[in-house]
Amino acid sequence: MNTLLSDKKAVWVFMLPSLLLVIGMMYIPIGWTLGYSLFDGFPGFGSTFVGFRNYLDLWSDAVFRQSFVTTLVYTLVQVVGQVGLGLCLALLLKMGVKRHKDFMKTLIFFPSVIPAIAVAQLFIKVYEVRPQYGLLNSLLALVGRSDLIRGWLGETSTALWCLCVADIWRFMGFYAVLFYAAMIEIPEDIVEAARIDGVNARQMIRHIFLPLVFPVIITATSYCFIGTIKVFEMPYVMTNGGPGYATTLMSLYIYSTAFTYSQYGFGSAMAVVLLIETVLITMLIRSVPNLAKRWR
Amino acid sequence: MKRRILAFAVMAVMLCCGSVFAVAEESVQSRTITLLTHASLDTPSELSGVIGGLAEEYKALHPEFNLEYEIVPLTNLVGKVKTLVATESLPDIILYEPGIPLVELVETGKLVNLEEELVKMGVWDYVDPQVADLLKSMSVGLDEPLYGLPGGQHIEGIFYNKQIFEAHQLEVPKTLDELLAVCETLRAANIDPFLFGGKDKWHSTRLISNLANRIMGYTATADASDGKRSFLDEGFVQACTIAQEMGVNGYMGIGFNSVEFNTAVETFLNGGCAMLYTGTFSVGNMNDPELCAIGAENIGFFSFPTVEGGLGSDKDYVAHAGQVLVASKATYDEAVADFIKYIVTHAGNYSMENYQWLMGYAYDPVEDLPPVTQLVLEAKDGAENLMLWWETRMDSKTTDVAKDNAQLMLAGEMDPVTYLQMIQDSTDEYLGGK
Repeated sequence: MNTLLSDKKAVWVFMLPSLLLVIGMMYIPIGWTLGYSLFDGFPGFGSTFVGFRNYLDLWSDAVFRQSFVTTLVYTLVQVVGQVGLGLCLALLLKMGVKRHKDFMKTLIFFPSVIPAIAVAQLFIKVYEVRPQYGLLNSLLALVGRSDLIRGWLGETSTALWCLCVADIWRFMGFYAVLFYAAMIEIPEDIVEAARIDGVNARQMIRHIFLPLVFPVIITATSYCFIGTIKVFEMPYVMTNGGPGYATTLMSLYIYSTAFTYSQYGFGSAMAVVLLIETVLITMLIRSVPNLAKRWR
Repeated sequence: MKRRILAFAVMAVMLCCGSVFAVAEESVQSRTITLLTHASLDTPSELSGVIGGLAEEYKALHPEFNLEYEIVPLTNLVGKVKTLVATESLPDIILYEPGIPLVELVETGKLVNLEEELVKMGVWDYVDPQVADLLKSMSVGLDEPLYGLPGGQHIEGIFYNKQIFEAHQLEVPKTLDELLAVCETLRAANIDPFLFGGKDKWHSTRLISNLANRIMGYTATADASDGKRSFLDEGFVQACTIAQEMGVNGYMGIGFNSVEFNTAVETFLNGGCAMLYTGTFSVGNMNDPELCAIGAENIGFFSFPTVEGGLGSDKDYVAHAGQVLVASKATYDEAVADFIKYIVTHAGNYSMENYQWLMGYAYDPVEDLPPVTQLVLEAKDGAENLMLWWETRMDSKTTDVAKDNAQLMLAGEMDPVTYLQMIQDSTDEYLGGK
């Protein structure tokens, strides 16, 4: 095996199929998008070369600016919710649940395997007000708070938060299982030594679990961020970007611009901006451990 | 020897002729025809449903015939077709969006002039002339030939629950003031006066276009989209203000911005609201006892009320002709022509028999029409002017500006003037770029 792996030609032979796939499915489309972003209109329908004008025009588009901010807010809430609540669930599993751990893990993980469209339809029913009250409105009627009954997905003040709840519910179990797996890898003698020294649960979490699981938290945060910033299915199915532009995330606006308004070049420019934003923020997240070390 | 050679030669010639004739007999119907549509081929009251049914009949007559279809959601249809145009791979037949998208497709030169083809085939008279004119006014213009054949023949108005009206001693409103009074009475009794499918956006904007056309005349919305008048005219501001009051006062239904159009129809058919603004494409559901819990005989219909001092009449109806049938020039041949001819000559009867409504093609008179069909047919026959709806002649971006922001405006979260200014700005951008 060592002989094989020291042979560079052999390494290339093994890597080549996957590399070609990644280049063909990822880098070439990215290059194409960059190319399209320098044109106006729709390919085949009289598009013209405009250089970087699309990038300059982006920031004067009010809907783009709003979708940019909405996407950042949504992503921040998702990262805090999914990773934060996932961590809480993992700690609960590690320290709180004594019996039926496997069953609890399955229960917690289950929502993450449900297709996005199914989750979206489920939560549409939860928030429903017509033709009958959904779960949320029914509970409000039951506890005597009929004044709060509304079309939750149809109001600008609530629509985005309703989307957030649905997506957090869907993925917090995934991160819970990830963090739990990292926690059970912590050597038991460290935990035992801490117990002998008399640490309580809060101190155990703060000084033992969190520092040792920190690298996994950083990785999970960057995965969560990358997955959330380009989310499409949930807002598309649940609200289609409405009411107004309250839940119009960048991915939805890119889609509308390119395929509904036939402004392929403008949509491509937005996609490039989203790519740059994703790369920069991911690099920032991954630099947090080094920054934390320097700060200490 | 010479006789044997001659005999073989004659046999060879006869075999070749036979195979040529065999090929010629198969050529018209034997190839697979491809169809791109937004709805499945068993969708009632849609042209796709009619084509699905007629395709089976056609196949019974021509066993070699085969129809392959692809379904694309309506919101993706225009983009999909543009992609297919760019890659020179349009299917044979497409059920497409009328209006501006059709104009853009016609300008590519990729579509068959179906009016010309139907005239050649001697079946142009099967197309209802009123619908043909409506489709032309929506897209290419009345002086141009028709590239897209009708996918329906619908008028829109207000259907109401007679029992609810009787229980609250309400009369059918003729004017806007009377309508608002009816709404107030019902709201006070904790009944949704209307339920609009605000999540589908187009349903809510129908309220705006009806009000605008009643105030300024039946061509107002089309004229504004064409730049002949401004969306900031007083009549449009008044229409949006009234519509906003209706939304804020709960006349459009509680939580209407989160309700889909199909849910609104279902709610009305189950007695959950007193009135429903919709078109005759819902008539099939109303006549169906399994879907209509309140009963077809309990449903009444009236035209959108007039506005005092307004230029519109209650004989003006918003009308449309569904998704239009277009054919690709690149693959148009006898097979496609023959199938389209079959559709044109049979769609009228198929639709009336199966959906109890019109498809925009000639049909044989029917006795004992279902109650709701009879009701609306009388209204349609009495119509003077067919109006276009709010977004008909808007480009796709302006359509989204108008629909997306209507949700905010009708919920009281955007000022009507701001809303109309956004539409005007987008319209100016589109017209300036033409």
